[in-house]
Amino acid sequence: MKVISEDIERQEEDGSIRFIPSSARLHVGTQDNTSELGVAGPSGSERQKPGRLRKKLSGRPFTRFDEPPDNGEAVAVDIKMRWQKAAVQARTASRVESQDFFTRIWPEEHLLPTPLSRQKTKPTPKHSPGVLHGKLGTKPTAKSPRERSDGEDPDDDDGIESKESEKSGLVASQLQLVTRTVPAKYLSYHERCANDEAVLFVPSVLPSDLHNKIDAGTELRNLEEEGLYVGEKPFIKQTNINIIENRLLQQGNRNWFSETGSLDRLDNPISDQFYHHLPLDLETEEEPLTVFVRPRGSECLQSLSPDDGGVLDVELSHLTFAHHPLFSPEHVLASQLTQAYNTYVERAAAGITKILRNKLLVLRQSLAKLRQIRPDSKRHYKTVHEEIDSTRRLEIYRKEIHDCYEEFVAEAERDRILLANILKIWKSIKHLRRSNKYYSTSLKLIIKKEDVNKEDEEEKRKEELEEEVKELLEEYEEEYTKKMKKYERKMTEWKAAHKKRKEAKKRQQQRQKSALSENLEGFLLQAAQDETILSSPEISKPQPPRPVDKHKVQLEVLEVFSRTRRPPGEPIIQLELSQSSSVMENNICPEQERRRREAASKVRVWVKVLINNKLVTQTPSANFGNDFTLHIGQTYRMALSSWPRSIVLQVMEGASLRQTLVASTFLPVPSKTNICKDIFDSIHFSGNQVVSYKHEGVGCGLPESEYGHHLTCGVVHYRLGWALGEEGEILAPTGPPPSTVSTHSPLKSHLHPRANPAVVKKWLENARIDPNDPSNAALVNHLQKAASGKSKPTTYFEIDSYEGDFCTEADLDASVRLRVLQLRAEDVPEFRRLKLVPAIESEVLRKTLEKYENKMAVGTETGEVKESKSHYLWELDERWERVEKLLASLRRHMLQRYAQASSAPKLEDLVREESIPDIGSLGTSLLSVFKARRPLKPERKKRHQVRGVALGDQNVQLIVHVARAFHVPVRCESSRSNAVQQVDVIQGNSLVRPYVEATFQRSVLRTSVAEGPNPTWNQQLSFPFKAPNDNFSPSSLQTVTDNVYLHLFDEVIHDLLEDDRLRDSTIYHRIEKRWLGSLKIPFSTIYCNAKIEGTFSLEEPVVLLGYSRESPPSVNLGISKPKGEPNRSATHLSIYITLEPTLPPPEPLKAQFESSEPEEVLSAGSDWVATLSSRYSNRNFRTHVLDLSGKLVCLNRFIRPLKPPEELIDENLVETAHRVAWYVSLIPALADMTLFPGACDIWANSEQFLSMLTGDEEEHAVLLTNFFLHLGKTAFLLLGSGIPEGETCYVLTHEDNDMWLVWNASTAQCFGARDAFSPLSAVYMLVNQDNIWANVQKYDDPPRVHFDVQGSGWRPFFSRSQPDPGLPSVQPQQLMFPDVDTKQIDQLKERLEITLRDAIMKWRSTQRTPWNRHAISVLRKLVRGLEEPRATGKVTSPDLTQLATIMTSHKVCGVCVHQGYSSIASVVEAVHSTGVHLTQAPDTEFALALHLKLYPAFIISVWVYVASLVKRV
Amino acid sequence: MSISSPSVFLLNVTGQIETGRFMGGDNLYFNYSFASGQDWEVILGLEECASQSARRSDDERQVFVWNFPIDITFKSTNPFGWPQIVICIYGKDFFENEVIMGYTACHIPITPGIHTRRLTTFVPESASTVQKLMSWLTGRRPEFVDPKLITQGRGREVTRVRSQGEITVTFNVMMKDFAKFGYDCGATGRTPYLAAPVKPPPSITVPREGQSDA
Repeated sequence: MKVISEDIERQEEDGSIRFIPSSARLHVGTQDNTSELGVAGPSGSERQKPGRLRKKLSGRPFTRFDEPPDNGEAVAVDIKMRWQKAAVQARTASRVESQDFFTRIWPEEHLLPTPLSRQKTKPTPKHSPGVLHGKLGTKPTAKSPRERSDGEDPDDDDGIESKESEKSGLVASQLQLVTRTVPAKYLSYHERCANDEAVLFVPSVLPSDLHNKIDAGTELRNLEEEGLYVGEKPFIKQTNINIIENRLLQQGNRNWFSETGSLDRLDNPISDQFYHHLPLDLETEEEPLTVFVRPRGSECLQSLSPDDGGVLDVELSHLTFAHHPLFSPEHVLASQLTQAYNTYVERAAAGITKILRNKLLVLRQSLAKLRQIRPDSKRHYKTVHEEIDSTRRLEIYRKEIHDCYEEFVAEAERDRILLANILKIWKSIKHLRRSNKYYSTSLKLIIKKEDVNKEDEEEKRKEELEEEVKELLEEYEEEYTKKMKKYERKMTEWKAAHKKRKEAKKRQQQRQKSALSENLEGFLLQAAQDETILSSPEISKPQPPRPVDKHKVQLEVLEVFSRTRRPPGEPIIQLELSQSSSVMENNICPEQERRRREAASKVRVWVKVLINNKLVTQTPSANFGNDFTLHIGQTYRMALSSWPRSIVLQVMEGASLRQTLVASTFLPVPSKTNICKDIFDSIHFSGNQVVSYKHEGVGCGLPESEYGHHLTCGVVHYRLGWALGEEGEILAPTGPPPSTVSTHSPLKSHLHPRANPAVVKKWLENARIDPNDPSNAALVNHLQKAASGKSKPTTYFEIDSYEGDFCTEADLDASVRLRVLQLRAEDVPEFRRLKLVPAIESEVLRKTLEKYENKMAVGTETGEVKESKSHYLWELDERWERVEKLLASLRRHMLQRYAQASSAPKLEDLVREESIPDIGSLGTSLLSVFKARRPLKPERKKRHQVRGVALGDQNVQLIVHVARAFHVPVRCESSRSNAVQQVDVIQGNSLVRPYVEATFQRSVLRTSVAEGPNPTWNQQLSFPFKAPNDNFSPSSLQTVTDNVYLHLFDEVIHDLLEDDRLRDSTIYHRIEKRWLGSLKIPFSTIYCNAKIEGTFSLEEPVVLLGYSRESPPSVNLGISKPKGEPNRSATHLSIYITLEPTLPPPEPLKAQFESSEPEEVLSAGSDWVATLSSRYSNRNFRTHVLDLSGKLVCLNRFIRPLKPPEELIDENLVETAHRVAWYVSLIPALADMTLFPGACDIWANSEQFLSMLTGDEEEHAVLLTNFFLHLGKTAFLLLGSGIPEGETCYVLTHEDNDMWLVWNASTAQCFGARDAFSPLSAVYMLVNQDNIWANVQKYDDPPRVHFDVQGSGWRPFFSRSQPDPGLPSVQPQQLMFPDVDTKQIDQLKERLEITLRDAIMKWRSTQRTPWNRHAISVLRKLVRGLEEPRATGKVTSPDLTQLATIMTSHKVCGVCVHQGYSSIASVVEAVHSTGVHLTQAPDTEFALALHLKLYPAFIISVWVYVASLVKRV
Repeated sequence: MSISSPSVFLLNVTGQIETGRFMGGDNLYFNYSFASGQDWEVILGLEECASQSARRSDDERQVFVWNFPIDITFKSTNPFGWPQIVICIYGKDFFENEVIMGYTACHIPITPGIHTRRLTTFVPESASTVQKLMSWLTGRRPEFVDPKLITQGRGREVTRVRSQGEITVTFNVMMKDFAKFGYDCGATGRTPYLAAPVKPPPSITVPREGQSDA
């Protein structure tokens, strides 16, 4: 068995594993029991010593199988037969026999052949002969004579061996023939590697050496730098390219590389041809699942259908170089001369000038004829029509003559210039020849002069001159009369207007002099009319046109004549160009010229014809002669299988072995009916090489040389057309021709034939298109044409490529229905929800559209604020309307901008999906297990934001949580006995029973009643929130202008039960509520801040009759109360307001806004903001804001000292400051956000603010800062966050006693910076006219902030590294405060009073509302005194002595409301919110007093005192 | 309004949602709704409807058959915003959770006659693999916030969808008064599904571009 194992071993070492048949093994085992030891012995030891094994193996024992068969050829014939026999034998061996095979004791002599034959037959069908060999070849080694000779038991096998050798001799020889035995050969690893290296090649992935890739001697080129178009090649990984390159280099094939040293690859391997295998027999197949439908061809698509081929004839006549590097300077001139002469001949043949002159003549004659008829009286005309007709004809003639004349002048001038040019060139040629002393060209210009009679001509010329002057004069004359007429008309207009003005002025003067006239109404009317007349702009006095100057006209005509006509006496010149002069012999020429000629004679030129970029044919190469013309004169006929996509001529040039492509030019593909014409077409070609020579040759493309700056160019004369068939038919391809411009050109669609070249050029500059890219050829061509001025605006009709418009713009505007549809598509709010717009024009509701259009018209009218200024306040309300319209138009404008900039929807808006829990949320959710169930200090959970669309029809709720209130005023019950008496402290419940009533979107909810001056409610009120149009998107939500009103009321219960006995069983109360104060929070603030939480001071009535406050809490005990700081004892209310679910806040407007400021300031600003924001994330910084025109403006430019109105300035500075603040606060406030879309903040300058009379906190604060600065205060604009406004602006001033005061500009309140009750909660930035500072201190709450901007706690925006560019302020130099008629105020007051009374009576519709005259008069006095103390900031308790008399007789409950006037409705609303009218007591009387204080620029302070009086019993 | 001078045109659609083929899922049901422009109004018929749930057929076709009728009449003044049918198919997943199986939408055929439409359906893909796993475990697959979103193009670029099954719908469309407003409804005949096979043309030999030997 060891033999076997050794066998396997050996074979494995040979490198292949071979199958060893078991029978063979067994056979070997049984047969060679003894001999196996002989083999196994050494092999066992060998295995342990590989070195020896190897040696032994390499010197293998020789076996007889290794012997080359001597008689192999002879026996070979029988091989097949013997094999067959053996196979048959094997098959016939019975089962018993095969079993016996193992058990039987074989008679050795007889059995030997059988196993051998089995050996042979069994494996053969299974294995390849080679495999078998190893087996058979090795096995008999045991019996090899040599082995036996050194074997241990020679006699044992001797007999067998001899017999075997007899019989097996035959078999062995057979085996040798079938299979060749090769000794297993061992190759060492190194040897094998060496062998591999010789045969195999592994391409390297490293880039190959550049020098290997290009031929030695040729220079490496960079095509892109040379300006050639290099297309984008498809992407292949660089390593793969390297492998390919290395492989190709290994093969020694350099053809694959281009001159650039890179692989020559195609730009786009995708063919634009369409191939598809069609199933040939569709019928035999079962119903196919897919049916191939051929794409339909259309004109715009390149045809994909095959066509029968055509036969194309290309005849090339000759080729002439217009410029060639081998030109001598003379040649260059000669070429120019030839060109000019050709033009001359062409023009002469066409005779344009002559034709035009004749035409002019004829026209003039007919005009004269027409004139002859015309001057006669009208009787010549039979009808009026005829007359009109003749007039029209006259007009036409005139116009035609004018046009013709101009054309003639232009042509004639061109003729003259051409002639002069030719002569000039000829002169320079002659000059050159003379200086060179040799001729290189045979060109000769013969000038034939024809003398003329000078006098005759002069006379003729004079005549012509006169005629033309006359004509021109006539023309000018006519124009003059026309202008004169126009002037006269204007003059009369002007005169009338002037007269009117004068009269009006006069009247006004009179009026000023005289006192009020009797007829007031008429007087006023007159005054109004006059004013409008005077205010309308004066029409400038028209200028009379200038009369025609004859002399000037004459000069003009003369000038034209000198340009265009031959001067009299100059001979008529005829030119003729001939090749008659002889070229000098070479030997006469100087060395330089001789070398040039030699070079020229060597150059051979030929033309290649390429169709579809495939070389089809080429002309024989030939030498051009001295005239640089190659005569070809051959016709090439080529059969094409389809329409050629391109026909290219390539002009090749070669000297000796080198050949270069001079230029290639595209021939137009002939149309279907084109056959060869009689006349040769010519096509220009132009190369792009740069060549320079040392000899006389001028070279080309050398911009600095005199002659050689041209590029090689020339003309090929050719004929092209389809051949004619035998029967005279045109042999063009049958298919439709392909479109001329390649269809895949991306630019084709952009290129409209009428596109403005300037626009296209501009676009092109931006697009940076490669002009060398063939696909852009059309575009570049168009531009070139445009540049050369060839493409004139066409006057002919052209179908616009933008067909598909259903109607024109005019139709769109004219049709009401289409207008409405258009507006709806534009999302105009009025039309957005419009449904079922009627299909018929007449049914469309015009009203909405008209209303909208009126509004738009007004909007544009008031678009300029300044304009409205001139009509300053004719009527107060009218003015308000105007302002509102202005705002609306502004808003529209911003909306448009917003719509453009609004970002695309996000995935969250479209797809609802669970979000992945992150580690933070997982952690908190895990930790929540350990949290206290009912923590002592509960925290509010953060809620998810629900995005716009996802809300669907969810109920959004506004939740108002009312916690508690402080310092609620208490009833002074003692006033019953004596009003003046000091209020006693009465403890207990009866003092006040306050409750809070909240109003939002017309729904009212209230808390329960709490007791005492410091009540606690802890109640939650939730309002359903209705979004406009049920649209919860941010853009619509921010238009919500609703406010949340929180009114604090005192509930007073009157016991009406008179009989005490019934008290056990009956309750009879009357409940009365009395207004104690209110708080207004705009919805926009809630929406923006998501929640509002805090303690707010209530806006309270100035005078609260019947109530008094407890002594103010000693908050700042110890600190002496600073002077000027108001008493802070207002009622405070703690609330929490939020929306459930949270609505997404509007996204900031991301659009890039333009700015007129320098770029570096803008970028520095954004950098500054970015660095600060990263450090102080909760503080909001900015340097630039938008102004009304939508431009970014630096903050400090808003600040500029501005003079407040004179009336406010007082000697007392503190008082003045308060007055000014009061003045500013009277301007009504309106949040930006409700005004403008997105979270964009728009700042108006103070002038705009005053004219709009409405604005946000920032406008108020800016104005106040500016006023303060003018008053000499150290003032800053403070940007921070306040309660309840959120992000807001305050004003910070520095007082004398080193106190910092914070002013709320919209309420005129001022606080010390360290005031605990200050509504300012955080300070982010300070701004003044010089700089912007950011708060970089640790804290931003005002009490802890140091306000010294020079300190380290503030980082300035403008610093040494970023200096202030010194841009002018956006504010005007001076504010204008127009005065107002006090009369109007009186009128307004009257109207207000009436309206309010009516309103109160209407609200109390179920009861009688008597008015107490006495009380009213008292209140009037009282209310008048209120303005002054408030304005000066002095808080004095109002003098109530006057009320004493009433108080004694009546129980008075009154409220005083104050606001800056914005509209009557807002005043009414404010009065309504006091709820005074709600009293239900019987026999209640009312009193209403109004006081209006007018300030400059129509700022009005309105005081309303409303009181209810109940008679004391 | 008298019949002689109508102010609106009418579009009547009948038909049925016949069958569906879906991988996975069982007991499928769908709801359909119509989305149309502002100038369209449903005057008769159900604008939204949910079907019965259907089981996969046991034969080799493996289809879900609903045969659910559609019958709706629109009136309109403007073809802009032509109505579309939106079908959302729901089914139970491996864990017996109700999940979305497919969304599809198509315009109502714009010519009168009988039309058969095979609508392939799709579902939005999870934003990430983790979410996909989560949604598979929890049975809350990503869904469109509003199925009618698929009738519009706006914002679709942010979504990723996977196609899933198909559904066959037959429409019978009738129109009234379209011609009176100048709208041509085209041929009334049935448009063939497949064009007749074209006779193969002789083989083409065209020199290929780019194989320049110049």
